[in-house]
Amino acid sequence: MTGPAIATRASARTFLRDAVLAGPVVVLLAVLVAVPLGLLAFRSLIGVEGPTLAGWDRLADSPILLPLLGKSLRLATVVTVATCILAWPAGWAISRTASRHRPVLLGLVVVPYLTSYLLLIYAVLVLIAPGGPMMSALGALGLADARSSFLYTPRATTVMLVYEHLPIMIIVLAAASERIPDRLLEAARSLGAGRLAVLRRVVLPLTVPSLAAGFALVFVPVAGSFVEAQILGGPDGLLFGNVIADQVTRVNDPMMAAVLSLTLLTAVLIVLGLLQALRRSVGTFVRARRHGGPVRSGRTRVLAG
Amino acid sequence: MQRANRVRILAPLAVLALVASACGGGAATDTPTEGSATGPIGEGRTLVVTNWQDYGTDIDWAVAAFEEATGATVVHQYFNSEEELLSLMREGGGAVDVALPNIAYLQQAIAEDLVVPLDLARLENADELSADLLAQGDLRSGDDLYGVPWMWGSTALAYNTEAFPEGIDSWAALWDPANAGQVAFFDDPATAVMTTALYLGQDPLDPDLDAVKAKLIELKANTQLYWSSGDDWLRGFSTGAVTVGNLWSGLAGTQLGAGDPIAYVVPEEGAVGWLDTLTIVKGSENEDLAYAFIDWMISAEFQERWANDVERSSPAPANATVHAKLDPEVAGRVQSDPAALSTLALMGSIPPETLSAWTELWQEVKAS
Amino acid sequence: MSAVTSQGRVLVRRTTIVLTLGLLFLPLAVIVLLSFNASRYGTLPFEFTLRWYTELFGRGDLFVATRRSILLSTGTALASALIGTSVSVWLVRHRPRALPVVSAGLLSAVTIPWLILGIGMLTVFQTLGIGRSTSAVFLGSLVTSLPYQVFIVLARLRALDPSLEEAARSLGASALRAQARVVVPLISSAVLGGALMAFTITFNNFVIQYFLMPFGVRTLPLEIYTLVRTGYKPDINALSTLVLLATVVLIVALQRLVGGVQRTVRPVAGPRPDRGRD
Repeated sequence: MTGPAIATRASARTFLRDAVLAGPVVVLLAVLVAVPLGLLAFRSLIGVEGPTLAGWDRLADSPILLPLLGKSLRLATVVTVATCILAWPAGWAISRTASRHRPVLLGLVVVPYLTSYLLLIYAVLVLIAPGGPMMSALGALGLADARSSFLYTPRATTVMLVYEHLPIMIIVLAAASERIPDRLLEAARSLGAGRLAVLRRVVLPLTVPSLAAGFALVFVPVAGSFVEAQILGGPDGLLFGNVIADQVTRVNDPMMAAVLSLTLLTAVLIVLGLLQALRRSVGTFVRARRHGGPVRSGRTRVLAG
Repeated sequence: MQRANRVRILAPLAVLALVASACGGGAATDTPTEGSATGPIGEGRTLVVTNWQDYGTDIDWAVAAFEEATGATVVHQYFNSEEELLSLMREGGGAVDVALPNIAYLQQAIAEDLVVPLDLARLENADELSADLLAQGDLRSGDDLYGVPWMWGSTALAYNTEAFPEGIDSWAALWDPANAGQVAFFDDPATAVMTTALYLGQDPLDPDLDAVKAKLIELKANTQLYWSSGDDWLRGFSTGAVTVGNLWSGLAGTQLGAGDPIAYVVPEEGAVGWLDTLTIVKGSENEDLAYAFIDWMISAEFQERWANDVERSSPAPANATVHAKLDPEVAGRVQSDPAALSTLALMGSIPPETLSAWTELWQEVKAS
Repeated sequence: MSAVTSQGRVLVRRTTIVLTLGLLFLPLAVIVLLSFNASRYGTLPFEFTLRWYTELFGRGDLFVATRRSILLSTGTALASALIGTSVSVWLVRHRPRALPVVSAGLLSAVTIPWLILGIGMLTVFQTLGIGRSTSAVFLGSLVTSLPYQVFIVLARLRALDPSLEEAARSLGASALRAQARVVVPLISSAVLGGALMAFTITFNNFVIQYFLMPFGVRTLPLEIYTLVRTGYKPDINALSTLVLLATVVLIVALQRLVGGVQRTVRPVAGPRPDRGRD
């Protein structure tokens, strides 16, 4: 490995390898993610008559825009947490089935994704409409009045968004659970850990990274959603996403569209940043607790086995 | 290049003019084009029309009649929003020949130099167009006419006749506490502001925005649904969740044709009106064909036959002679009575600042 | 551990899966049901009809749009599997230090709502003189599905026990051979899962197609959007029913295929603990 000629050839080969393996993705990301963001920032400062801060002023002065942003972020949090809670048992259960059944189960989970979500929205609308199948069933059970419904209220939006994002969360959590070997759990249990302790000290720490990923995958689209609210949400359903879409489709105001888009983006990034920080602190905490503990040795033994 | 183009366009036109005068200009025979007398003017050529899908220009018999008469092939490019239409037109001639913008967007198309001035003398059926519609200022820039009126309609009061056996004829019904939770209202800033202004007896194009806003917030308590597509309304109406609201005349006509228990009236306070126009896109190399197509589209024959189509009811025809020819029931369904025009506040081009202010107001209403 | 509790646990798992799938399929069942219902607006009582299916076959545009969507999604899935997997391998094996930058880029592709990303990409394509085009849609779809592909494959690669590859190499396998024989089979299900994800996302990515597809050229989501705006008929429900049917058939077929591959691969390189004893 000495001699400049070999070194040059090696570095040329490294370069070629890098270009082939990573080139396409890096270029795509640069041109279609980074550049559009720059353009957006640029446009938020350009009004009809040239450079201006008017758009940002309007955002700050508006009595509705920032509260609406808060509403969208709250909704996204509720939807994401609800999705986690609903998806976890299924994700865990799927990860514990025989490995040859897993693809088909995950495939089935994905099926709703393959129909247009517009159609799904209408299907849910029919489902929960007053006098529709669900309300009739609830009415027959005496749980609700069949003629009334929560359709055209913000709750309908929440239900729809949870439904829509359940598949992705199940997939993420199933993948995470899959990586926790049964033997690790058995080892923990055999070393005297109770059910709760296993959950807290083995399952949770090993799932948290994926949970964070799942959180992001659901939180982001929900924070920017607007069609669901438009169709199902009724008079009180307006979300921040609706206002952004209106700037593009109704008023054709590129400056305001850019300002609002960047605002939403910043808010989402802050939330994800907080999440990351939280994850890190949980990680350190868990690692500190685990150091030298029985679980760790259990894991080592399993992997070495 | 420019001159060569012009010559190419002018040559067949000269022939067309000769033929037309030879035929004696019989306006009663509303075949798609007079060119049919001498053989096709459009043999082997393609005319590109851009419009909403399933909206008149693409009805099979209408296209077939035009194609047979001219020998040309008609191709449709569909758009989903007026914004999309404008960008289609920006792609210019060759891509699109005839475009059908709403009058509210015509001024923008003119300002962007996307459409060409039209010569009414080249349209046999122009004389039959409603003078009221043709007089709309927003069709013109200076003395030049850029859009030919095609179909018009209103966004007025619709209600379920089973829920209101006595009938209603005032916007007050939407605000009536007795109808709480049954109202559907079109989710559109301009319609919302103008309709409320009419109800308050104010100038629909320059109302007291604070009063309008207060009234719209009041309406919210009664509202079950802000509808944004025809489908939203139909679902709300057919499930019984909605019994009264403002609605497009065209959709009301479709429902009447289907036998739904619905009534549609322009209330005593008036309603918002709209007008769709036919234009020729700048750079079109098929101007002669485009004129022939527009002439066919405004002919009494086409507009009457479309009005009588129950499955896909037309809006109100801009050809003023059609109303008298229609069966009263059909006339009621398509709301073709030209007298209604005087009660409508036609939604012309709204200045961007105004629209922006209205949109903000509407968002504040929805967020309150 | 007694047999009874493990049996009970299996039962609980099965119930959970069945209940969740039931919940997921409920609205789909509504679509299927409505495709056979005479009412145009999904109102009851149910009245059987095949009218929507005959109407569906009478109109070519929906089939053209469906075929276009399938082509686009397949192309995106293939491309995403190829470049997504290679960049994952690169990140894990060759350039771990580039990981934060690349994942930040991928994460932002996920973090920017598609509404915003779509508008931004359109501006870029217009600046480049490409404008709305099929290639623009392809690249846009690729960017939105890549993150899923890469993160799924990355997760699997990092969960791999490096000692397996080391073992293979210490037993005399070349680097390439070790990768081909050990790494590839181990990550194949992740690659396939990622590609499936890419296909799914692209198939249903209305927003990106709305902004980047040339006017007049319609994919299925765009076609449905248009029909919904103009008042759609249950023939779309009929189409969705057919798409659902095809999907389920495809998944079962795929499972047979993958299951077969896994059965043949497992004894050689499966992450089974008992493998160590071979």
